[in-house]
Amino acid sequence: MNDYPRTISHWRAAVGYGLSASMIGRRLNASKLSMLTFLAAAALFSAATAQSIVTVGQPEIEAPSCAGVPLSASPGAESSLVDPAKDLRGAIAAGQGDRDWGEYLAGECLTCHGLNAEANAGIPPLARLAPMDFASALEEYRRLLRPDLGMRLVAAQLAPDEVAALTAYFASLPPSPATP
Amino acid sequence: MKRRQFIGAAVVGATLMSAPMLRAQGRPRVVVVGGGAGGATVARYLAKDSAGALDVVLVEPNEVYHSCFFSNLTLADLRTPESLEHRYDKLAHLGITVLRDRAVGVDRARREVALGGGGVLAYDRLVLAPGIDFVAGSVAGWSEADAEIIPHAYRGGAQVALLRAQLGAMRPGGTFALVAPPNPYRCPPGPYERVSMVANLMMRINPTAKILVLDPKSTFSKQALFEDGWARHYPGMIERIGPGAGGNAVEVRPAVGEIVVAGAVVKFDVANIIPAQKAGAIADAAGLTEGGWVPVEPLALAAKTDPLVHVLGDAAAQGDMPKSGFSANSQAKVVANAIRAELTGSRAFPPRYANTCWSAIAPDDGVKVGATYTAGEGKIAAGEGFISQVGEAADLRAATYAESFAWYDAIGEDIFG
Ligand SMILES: Cc1cc2nc3c(=O)[nH]c(=O)nc-3n(C[C@H](O)[C@H](O)[C@H](O)COP(=O)(O)OP(=O)(O)OC[C@H]3O[C@@H](n4cnc5c(N)ncnc54)[C@H](O)[C@@H]3O)c2cc1C
Repeated sequence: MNDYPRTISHWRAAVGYGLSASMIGRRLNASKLSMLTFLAAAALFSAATAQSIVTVGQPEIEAPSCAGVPLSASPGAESSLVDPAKDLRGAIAAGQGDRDWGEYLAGECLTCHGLNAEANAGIPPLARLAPMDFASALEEYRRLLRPDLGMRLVAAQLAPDEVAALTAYFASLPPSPATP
Repeated sequence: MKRRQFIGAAVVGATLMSAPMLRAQGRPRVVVVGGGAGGATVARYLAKDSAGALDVVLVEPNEVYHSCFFSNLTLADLRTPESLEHRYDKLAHLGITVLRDRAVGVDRARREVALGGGGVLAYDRLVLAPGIDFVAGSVAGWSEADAEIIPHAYRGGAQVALLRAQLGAMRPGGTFALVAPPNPYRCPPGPYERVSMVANLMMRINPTAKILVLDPKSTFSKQALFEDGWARHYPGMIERIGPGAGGNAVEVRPAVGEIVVAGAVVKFDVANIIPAQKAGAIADAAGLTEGGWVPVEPLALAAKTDPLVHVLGDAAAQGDMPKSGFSANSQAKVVANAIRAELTGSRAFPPRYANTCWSAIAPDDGVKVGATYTAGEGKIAAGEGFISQVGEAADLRAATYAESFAWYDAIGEDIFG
């Protein structure tokens, strides 16, 4: 099907996740978030590293406390893999994600996100997100650029082919019925 | 009204059955016992994804499911009891046969489930998701027969409404006593969220009331977050007596409204006894329990002693996942995928497990704890996780609180359609 890194540690090494450890211990500065978000989205598909984002924005990100387990990988994990962001872009654009696998994976999303739920103040419904927006949002969580602890955990544990599978599934859903 | 008829028809079908209801030819049957967070999700995903290839039968005695999740919020009037009601009509419309009946026995050798209404259901795979029952005698002086006077309120609906009514009628300055359960039990933060919600109600209607928590555990879920919240929102109202001071060996005297703690008699006005727990009785009747719970393997929650019976949700001894609606729902999707793959040849995907438990400390002050889990050596093993922090900004707490409401709607839809 594809040869993306299959394990979380491969994925993290490939996206420079070890570098994000340097971001830990500081608090997210909301005023800088939107610019960072933009930069991150741009960086996602142009192979920029987490390092450059840190330097540009100096984000202050709260340490995710995880019952004693930090959400970031330990620095110095193996590197030199293909750039998964580039491959991911290709897979998403070509609709190569494994839709059925995506449907199964989506089960995890649906416990909290309604599919077509009415606009919901707490947690947004998923089906209306464009594939690239969806992948970018996950990448921003993965890079700790978005604050929610739960989604950071979810994003950290999705490998690139899993993200592609999810986008393929969500893209396959019929448009939600217009709300009166 | 239309929905009622649909379910009614299914129920009539069941009661008319005289001979064992045999497996339909060529269509494997999955019988799911218990239409709660775990069982209803399994049934829904099996029916939805197998598109008619499976005969899915859901056995549930109640017409309405009253969720325990969010029931604490009804104590502080932050949710209405009606908003926690779920019905089975959408599951029936998916092609699931919803039998309003109770499973009373399982003949695993013959692969049959006996129903209280007299019917017998043959199965190719059985899913047991009966939730919990209480361990008799775990709180001295109190038995389930006393629950009409002193509620446990650890199943949804009437018991929670009774507790709310008693709290509303409590004399000014009265004492509310809560006896917390020993591990393991349904919803680790549940008793402490309950304390928070009762305190919230009391601040509003009975501000000189006292809350006494008698606890057999030395520590509890989200303890730092709750204790910080109690000090901020309800100063001086809540006292907790742990095992070192007698919280582990109380005796309740329902008739006179007394609890004996470490030899001292404490008068209460309203009490809530949350007893020790075990798997719902059908698990024991099926001969699957060990120490009260059903040991299951971690890949698809099949009972360790019978691969044709999957047990999930609160009833399962699966390892590290807390007994929560979220966990039951997460496990259910793994079970549904595995059963469908085995019976129809569809694709089997690796298990993925997750849990998040939100708790309300006060309106707009929500906290959460969550983790992901993997199929480990002989058990479901905890992976990485997160927890809210003491001292978080008020707007983050408000966002977490709002999030929990969104979660409730989403999971309700995911379980019941
Ligand atoms: C106060 C409180 C607060 C909670 N808050 C949360 C929360 O915020 N988040 C969260 O995720 N979880 C929460 N929970 C936990 C959650 O309610 C349970 O973990 C969850 O309901 C377990 O799902 P289950 O399917 O195992 O059991 P249940 O949901 O209890 O379903 C079991 C079903 O089986 C049926 N049944 C039993 N025996 C039989 C039989 N012999 N035949 C047929 N049917 C049978 C019952 O009628 C019931 O409908 C809370 C619990 C409590 C008590």
